[in-house]
Amino acid sequence: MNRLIVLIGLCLLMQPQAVLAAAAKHPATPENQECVECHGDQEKVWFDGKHGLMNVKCIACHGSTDKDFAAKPGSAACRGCHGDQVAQAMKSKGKEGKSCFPCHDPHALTVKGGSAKPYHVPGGK
Amino acid sequence: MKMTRRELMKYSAALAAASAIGFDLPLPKGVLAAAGEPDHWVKGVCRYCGAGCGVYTGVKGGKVVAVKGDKENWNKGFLCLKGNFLPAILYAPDRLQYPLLRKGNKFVRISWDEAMGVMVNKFHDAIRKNGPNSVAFYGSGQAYTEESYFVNKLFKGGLGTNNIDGNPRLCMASAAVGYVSTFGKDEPMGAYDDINHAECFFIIGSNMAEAHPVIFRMVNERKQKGKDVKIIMVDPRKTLSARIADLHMSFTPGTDLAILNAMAHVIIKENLHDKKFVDKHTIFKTVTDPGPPPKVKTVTWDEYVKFLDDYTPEAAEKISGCPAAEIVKAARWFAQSKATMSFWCMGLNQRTRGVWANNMVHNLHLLTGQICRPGATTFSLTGQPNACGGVRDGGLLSHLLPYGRLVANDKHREEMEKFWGLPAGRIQPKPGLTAMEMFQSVNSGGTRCLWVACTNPGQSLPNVDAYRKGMAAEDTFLVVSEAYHPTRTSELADLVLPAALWVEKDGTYGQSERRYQYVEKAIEPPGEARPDLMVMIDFANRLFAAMGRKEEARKLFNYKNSEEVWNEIRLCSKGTAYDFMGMTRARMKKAHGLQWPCPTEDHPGTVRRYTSEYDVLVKQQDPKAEGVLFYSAKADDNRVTIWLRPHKGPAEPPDAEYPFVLTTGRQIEHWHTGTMTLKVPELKRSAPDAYVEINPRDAAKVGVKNKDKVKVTSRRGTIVLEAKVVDVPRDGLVFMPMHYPDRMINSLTTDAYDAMSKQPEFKICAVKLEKV
Repeated sequence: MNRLIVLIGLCLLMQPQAVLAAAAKHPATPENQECVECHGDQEKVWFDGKHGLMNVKCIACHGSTDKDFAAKPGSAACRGCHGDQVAQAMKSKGKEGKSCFPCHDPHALTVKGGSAKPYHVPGGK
Repeated sequence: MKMTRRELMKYSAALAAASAIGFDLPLPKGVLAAAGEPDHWVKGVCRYCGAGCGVYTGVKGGKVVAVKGDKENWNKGFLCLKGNFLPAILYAPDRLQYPLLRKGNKFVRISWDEAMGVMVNKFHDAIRKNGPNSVAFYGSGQAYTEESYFVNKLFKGGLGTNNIDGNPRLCMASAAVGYVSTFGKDEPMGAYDDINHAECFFIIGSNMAEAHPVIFRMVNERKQKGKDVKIIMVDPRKTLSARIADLHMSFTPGTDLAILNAMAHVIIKENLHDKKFVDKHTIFKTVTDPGPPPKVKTVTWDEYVKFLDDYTPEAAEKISGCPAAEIVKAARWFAQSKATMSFWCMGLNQRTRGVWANNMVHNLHLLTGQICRPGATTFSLTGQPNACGGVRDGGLLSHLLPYGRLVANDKHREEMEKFWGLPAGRIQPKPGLTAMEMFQSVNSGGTRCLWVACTNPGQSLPNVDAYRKGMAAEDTFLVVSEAYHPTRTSELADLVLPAALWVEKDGTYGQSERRYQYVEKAIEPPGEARPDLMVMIDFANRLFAAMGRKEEARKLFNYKNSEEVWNEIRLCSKGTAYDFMGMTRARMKKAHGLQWPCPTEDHPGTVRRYTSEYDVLVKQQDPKAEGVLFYSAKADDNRVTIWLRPHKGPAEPPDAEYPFVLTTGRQIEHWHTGTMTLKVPELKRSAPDAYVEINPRDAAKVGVKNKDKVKVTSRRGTIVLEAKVVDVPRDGLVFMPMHYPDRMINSLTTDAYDAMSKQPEFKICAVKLEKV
């Protein structure tokens, strides 16, 4: 059993971020139930942030509550609007660098801890 | 009108019939989350609204698996919520793959050859027995320019009937007539680039945060980066757009005309107008007899000032409920800003006085000289990706001919007859049926054959139940070209033709700022679906052969692909205000859109019209002209019109029996009748169903709580749906989204329409509410 868990863990580590993200399931919800009804805290942070103002809603990153649900979304979902930034991140070394969220707060989208050096510019790291 | 079997047929039955045919288009799982890069990216344009965002589609293994915004286009790489999920619309399980013919209560699969044979027989028979005006075409602001141009040529030039109109009649007609009546020519003179220069935004009748999100993003960016940029939002709902407003002006629905006149009143009384600009570039007109035909009289500045005496801010407050102080503040901001840009959309257009409302926004810009400078412009937002390019510019409305020409103008008909190589007199001088007249004619049996392409009138017409009966009647042969089946229109059809969708074919889209963009084909359509242009060419040649006019068809309809049609379009536009001669297909493939006029291949396109600094046509018209020249208004010595338009309320105001105003509109997740967006699981999950939005005070009066079922009744129908209690609409107003095929809100809306534009008043009707 332990070997199986290790094997699954190794497989997951080898998967791209987007596949990792799709692993979690969302509990079944009534069709008319809105995200805010259970995720009020996150919704507030989101609503007050850039994505909230521009109506980039929960589904943009998390998908629906069905098979495409992603509890911790990967960076592929960002590509629609931020293609260059995602491409840049994917070229970086190390697993963490390939994701948007080590640097960006997932719901406010602000840069965590400020930004001493711009990352998404030519000459960024 | 005979009512028969089809009246009984319900949506579910049609769905079952369609399913039985066997669609096998599995939706790719997690298309947006697909790991790794697509094989290649193909440049195009978003399929949805008239903003016209540049989009790249990522193709892998012959399927579209991703999209990304075009960072070199005006949208700077951004897409809206629904734009991000575009790939899924191509793989919806109800994509139609084969032609379907109605047999009793069922649809059966037939070949294209059989489908064309049936269609040609029906149209030929109707024309032979009842003349060309017994057939009609109802098109779309979503068809490619080449498709709309070709079918316009077929009907107006080939068949000699002007009974060809399109769904922009339901959304843009008042804006088009507004521009033409004020400036002499249609379409905005400015561009999205004006957002980067404006210091005041006057936004009226538009919820751009949901309906045009990427334009809203630009406005917000300007607000954040500019110094003291003011945003005025005029809307009886406090929508998500109002989050960035400095001044939100709420008012009783249908009374905004009084507010607009009162703003003009304040501007003149406080001497905030630009008298020099007014004297040089404008004239004043009023209608003395509405006709038809209307009698128009030119009047003086003094008469205009006197006309506005009735519209003090206090008088407008009494009419509209909008505080006088807010009207004064808005007028001052509008006039005193270095550059003011107005935006409006369906809130002004879908009104029985839509043209007047458009004229009155233009009046404010002309009075203050807030026009034809960077940031100063009057800009109509567009609902569909090619309403401007294909329908307004291309002339796919029953009173228009291509590129600014009119059916009723002898010279214009003669020009088009020569250009198309037609015998003199072929194009009929009388404008044909407009959208609502067309469906009235279907009801009365005057229209025997109707071809509907790329649109869904069985859901989108106002007072829709009245017109569904006609579409379903046995004595009307209804052909529907559609990518999906069933829709609320295709379920009523006799023949359904499977259409290639979006990047499954190539063509040209023209969006709100006169930017034309080429959409390259990225993938093959499913099954036997074909591009509508190829179907139209096939049909035209077969019909003319059946009518014994094969030789004529060979000259008129001899195209192999969309590029050949586009090259004819360029020639057709040559020398007009539109001039696309510089927009070769090769250039369009590389460019990120080009704005007309673009008369030569080395011309960069025109950001702003009617000013010598930007518009090459100014010097062509008058080599000595410097600055503004409204060459569009030649008949009035290049002077554009400030119209004296009185306030007039809606066709159906609320009363004791129906005490609420119903207004309809959009949600960010969905687009139009939901045929595309409701097939996207993420969008459907986020916005699964229609609702009636009601504020807490009105909800308490009616005795409903959030999520209670409410029966909403107008003089035309009743529907039951969930209440969404939220402090967004003002007292006495309820709102419903327009997108849901199983909640037909247009069963309630009125089909009263603007006498000038023939655009219906979707935005205002009277309803009553009851808790279920």
